[in-house]
Amino acid sequence: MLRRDTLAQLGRALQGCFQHTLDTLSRDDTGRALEEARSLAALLERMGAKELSVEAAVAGTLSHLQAHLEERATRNASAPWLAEALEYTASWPLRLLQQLLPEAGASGWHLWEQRLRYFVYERAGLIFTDSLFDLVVDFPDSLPTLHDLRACLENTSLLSHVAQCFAAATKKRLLHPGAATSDIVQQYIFSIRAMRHVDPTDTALAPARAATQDYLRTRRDAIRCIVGLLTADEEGEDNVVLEELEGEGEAGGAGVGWGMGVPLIPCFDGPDADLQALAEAERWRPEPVDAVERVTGSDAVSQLVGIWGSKDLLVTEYRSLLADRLLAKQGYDCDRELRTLELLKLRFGDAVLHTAEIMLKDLADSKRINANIRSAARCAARGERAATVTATMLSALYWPQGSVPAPDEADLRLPPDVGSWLEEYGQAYHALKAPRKLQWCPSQGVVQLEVTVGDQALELTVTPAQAITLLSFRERSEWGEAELAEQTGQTPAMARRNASFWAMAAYEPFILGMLANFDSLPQDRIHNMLKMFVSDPPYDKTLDQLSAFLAHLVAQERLTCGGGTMYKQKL
Amino acid sequence: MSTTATSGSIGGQPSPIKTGSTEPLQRLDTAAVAKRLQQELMSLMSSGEKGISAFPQGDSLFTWVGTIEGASGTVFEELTFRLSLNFGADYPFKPPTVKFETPCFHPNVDLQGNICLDILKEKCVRTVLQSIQSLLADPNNDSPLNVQAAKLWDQDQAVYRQMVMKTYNAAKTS
Repeated sequence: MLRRDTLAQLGRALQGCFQHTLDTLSRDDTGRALEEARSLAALLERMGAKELSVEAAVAGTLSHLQAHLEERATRNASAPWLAEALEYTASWPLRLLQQLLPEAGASGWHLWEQRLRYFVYERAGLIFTDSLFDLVVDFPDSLPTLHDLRACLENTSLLSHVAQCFAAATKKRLLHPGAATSDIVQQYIFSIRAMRHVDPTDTALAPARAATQDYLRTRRDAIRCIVGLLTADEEGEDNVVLEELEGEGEAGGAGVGWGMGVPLIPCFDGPDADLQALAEAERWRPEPVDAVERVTGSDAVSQLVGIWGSKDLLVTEYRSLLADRLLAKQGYDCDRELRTLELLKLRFGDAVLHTAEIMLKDLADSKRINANIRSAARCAARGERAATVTATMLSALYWPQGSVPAPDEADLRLPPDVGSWLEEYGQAYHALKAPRKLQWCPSQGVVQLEVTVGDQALELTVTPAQAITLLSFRERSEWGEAELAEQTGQTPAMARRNASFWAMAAYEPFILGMLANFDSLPQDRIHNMLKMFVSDPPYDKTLDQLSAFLAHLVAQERLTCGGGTMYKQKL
Repeated sequence: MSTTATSGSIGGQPSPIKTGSTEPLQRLDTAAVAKRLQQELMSLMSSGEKGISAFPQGDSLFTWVGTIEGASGTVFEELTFRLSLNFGADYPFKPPTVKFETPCFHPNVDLQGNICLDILKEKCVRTVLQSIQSLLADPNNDSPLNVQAAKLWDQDQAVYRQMVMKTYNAAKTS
């Protein structure tokens, strides 16, 4: 009993001693610590407990390595360090082990080396796994570290642990009510992309993916969000969904169950078909034992669409977004939309996207017809005013219901002069495309006006309702709210809002000038500065009026709203 | 700051008052200067000139923030420089104190952002900004404040552009 206690104590002392030797390698007392460790090992050997000294030395080495790895991970979060750590392990720690226990022989050392390497892979893998979610967020900057993790997974059996941890981190940090749907979708795509580099067999991602898909299914705006990302204007780095749609690069392959499939059995042709087949066969690796059922060859977009099991929902949503986007467009240029449509057609097939194609064709036709009418109108003396009109002709049946107001719906009442321009334009269309006739939707589109306030001339692009409201003030300088609403065919609330818009328009240059000189300003600061510095016309508006006007400027893409009530100049 | 000049005894009298406190006179001046600055703001805003802009900062009409975009085709192309403009009570008889807030590597701008004074003879905000904008593209190398910049300007425009970008980006990241 006594002997066992003594031995255990000696073992612990040796372990500590050896670890200390390694910890203080660069310092002066290394030699002394090593001497001490040697004498302890000799003592243990004399007491007939040689195995114990080996165990203690290895344990000391391992705890040194553990500290070493942790220190490396905190010091070097961005650069890859696994290879260096392995190299380090093979140098000092192993060499000192050999010095301490010279009689173990080459095969013993080889075993130790294996053991130390495994330890490093495992510990490093655990360290990477702890920060895996952040690594995915930082993707592709974190790619070297992800490759390190991959090496760890290939040399250990951590795969299912990684999968569980990543799913837990995703649930905790992403799948909660505080996260915006677009962030979830983007992070989901980043996960898919990043985890391809960690684990090509898809096992590590599977639980997190299942959790994300389940969660997205509960979010009502998820489809709209995905489609929005698909059709977004910006080509910036943000738009990962579109990138995925475009890029066959990384994952290759096409959708699950529809579109072009990848042949399951590769075909080899030509004179060296045998060689190719052989090479392919040699590349083949069995799946890891803990592999889950694979979603073979499916890329991020298919996985996203797959959430709802059917593409119909997505296509419907796409059409309605496309309608909004096309109707908000000034001009007929829709190259970008066409490109997105082509990409979607590749994926979902032509048939379901037929109506969307007609919508885009409407715009192309409109461009041609409009140019025709305008050049004809310019030649004919009487139709000159029709040439100020630019129209988009829609085949109403093919546009999503609700995107275009029905003809019998109450709409804006145009002033007689403006109405006559439209009528002339309509007649020109009828002459060109008889028997077809145009049915106007006056509330859609935009109006470009030149307004003179005092001695400054403003070029403004406004909504038809705003323009009509202003034009009503040509005949009378004061209107009652109900009267104005009746006159222009708006609701009283709309009439009031549009009238107060014009009261604000004179301050637009000041607001823009202010924001040109300050990076961003909160709404109440803008309000105060207008009050303080603008005297002609004196600023007498309320914060609510300003707020509505700022919202209008944001909608016009003159300003951007950086969250809350901070406003910035649109660059 | 008081911008009301209602005192009847002084209003409209151009002759200086020789006796008594000078405070009412100063107040009158301040009011006149404020009015002048307000008018300049109006004309600057309605002119909508490209590449230059300025607006009073915070709560005083006497301190402005200015913005100048480097003219295209020059080494300052696509860069935006912030300036500060300080007006004294003797404006417009004395020009405002103008300083670069964004570091600007330029022969006539020192490391603190001060600008070689002789171009500041201009009187109104708009012309001050315009002349600084043209000074960017066309430095006066005879009396440089930044000797290194003056030398480099004549030697190598490509290296000069690199220095401009380095100075500019260093300020952005810090």
